[in-house]
Amino acid sequence: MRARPHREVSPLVHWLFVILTMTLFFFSLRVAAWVILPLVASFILCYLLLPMTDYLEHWGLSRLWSVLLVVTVLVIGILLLIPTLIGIIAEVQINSTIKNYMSKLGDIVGIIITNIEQRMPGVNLRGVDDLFADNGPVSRFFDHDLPKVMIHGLLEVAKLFPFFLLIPYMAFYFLLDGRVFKKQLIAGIPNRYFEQTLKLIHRVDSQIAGFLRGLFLESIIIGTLASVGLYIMGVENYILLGVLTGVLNIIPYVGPAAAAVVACLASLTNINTQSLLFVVTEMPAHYLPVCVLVWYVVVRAIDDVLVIPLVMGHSLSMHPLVIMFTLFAGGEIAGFLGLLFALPVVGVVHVFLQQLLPMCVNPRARTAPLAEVMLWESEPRT
Amino acid sequence: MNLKEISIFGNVLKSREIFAVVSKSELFRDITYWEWRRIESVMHERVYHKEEIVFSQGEEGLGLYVVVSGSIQFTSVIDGVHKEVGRTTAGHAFGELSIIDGRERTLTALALEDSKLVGFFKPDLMRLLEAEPKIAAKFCFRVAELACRRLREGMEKVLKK
Repeated sequence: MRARPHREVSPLVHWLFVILTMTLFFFSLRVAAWVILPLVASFILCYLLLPMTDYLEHWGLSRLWSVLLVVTVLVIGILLLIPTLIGIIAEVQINSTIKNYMSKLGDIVGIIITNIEQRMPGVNLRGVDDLFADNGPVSRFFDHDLPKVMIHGLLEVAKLFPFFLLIPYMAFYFLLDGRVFKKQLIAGIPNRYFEQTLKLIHRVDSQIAGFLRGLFLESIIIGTLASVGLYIMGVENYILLGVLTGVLNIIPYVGPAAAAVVACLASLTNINTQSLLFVVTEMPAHYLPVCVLVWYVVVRAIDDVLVIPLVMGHSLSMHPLVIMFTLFAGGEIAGFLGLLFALPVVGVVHVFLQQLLPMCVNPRARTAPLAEVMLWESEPRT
Repeated sequence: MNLKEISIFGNVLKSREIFAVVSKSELFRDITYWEWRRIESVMHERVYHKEEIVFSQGEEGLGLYVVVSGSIQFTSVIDGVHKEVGRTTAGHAFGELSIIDGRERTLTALALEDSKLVGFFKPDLMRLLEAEPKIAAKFCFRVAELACRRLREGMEKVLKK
């Protein structure tokens, strides 16, 4: 048999395709968020719920009943969670609490400035202190600009609400008929590429599943760790902050940092001095933000050293620069949604192209047409 | 127009028809019709035209095929020359080793006439093992039996020499 050449795809081509696909995705997210959002979200949800439905099916339930059960439990859970979440948010009373944080922050900045001025006589930093004065720019921002921005943001999210209802509905059909869709897709593939396509779909499927489940698990672990730490340190609203940390953890680099900043701000006020940390160490309350920051750094280290290698394995070897650029592009084109979906989507696209592109350029991966087989022969078929 | 196309039970009739052929194959001999309905949901029906290649030697294999109608010729490259090494017809399975080990195909399979095959592949078998272990075990046992028989035949050949 004549050796068929074996070729590899240049990484440059691969990454060009990844970046191109991501840019298209972000643009479509910006233009039609209400179409893309439920579709992508239900797709991700489907992968997260699939092990549960499979497990129920293994127990002997039919596909329909297992899917119905899982989706119903999910919907009821969300419905129960929404009032609780709204309750917590109402309790925080965002506006007044933030103002409270800011006045505290102003006090701390004042102390620091006085300190610096005492130690370095020539320096005059009064201008910085004015920022935090009663009618200064900071308080103006929190009185006028921030409420406006937040109401605007809430309205934007509320506008999308009907489409959030679509997510469980679409996930239900993805779960129920996913295999049928897959089978129909495969039925349309020409015989020559059939087996290879089957293999491709299977590999991509299992890698995407592993990646999305890993990401989800990582978020839960990090959120729980942060929550437990904040509880021990006596920061109120530790559950809300933990959930926030978990969600923001999906955004690489920026997310964990933002979560740490929010938790530090929260630890300036709203603290419970009866908590374990205060009782054991009897430290003054204004050390707390530093403790929170240290805890977030520790959590970050645990994530990088333990959780990511254990949960995600080596399924996703992407260069940090690629992730960074994807984040910039996502944030620039599609705002917060772009940031949130950047890593899950770039991972999926990366895994998909990693399998597909070599198959497109590599003749070994394809079944040879008859004419080619005839050429290899040196005498007629018997 | 026949009954299969117009009846609302067309799918069941078609499935009965395929089952009647497939259950003749030794791999699916002790699978009942209702078990077959479960396996069938993960099998792929393919139609090959005359002289179309099903798989070729040296390719990574993924699973087995059962001939529903038509006939398949196997060729192998011996000393650089393609030679026919066997044929198979309706009711027989081929390529069954690949569903277990997923290694390279040892033969080239070619449709001698327009043929209908059903394919059963490793990822789907893995899934079946999770969802319906009993059916999958029955099937795997039959594959093991076939592999044992081949091994014995091979050993006997070696011993005779």
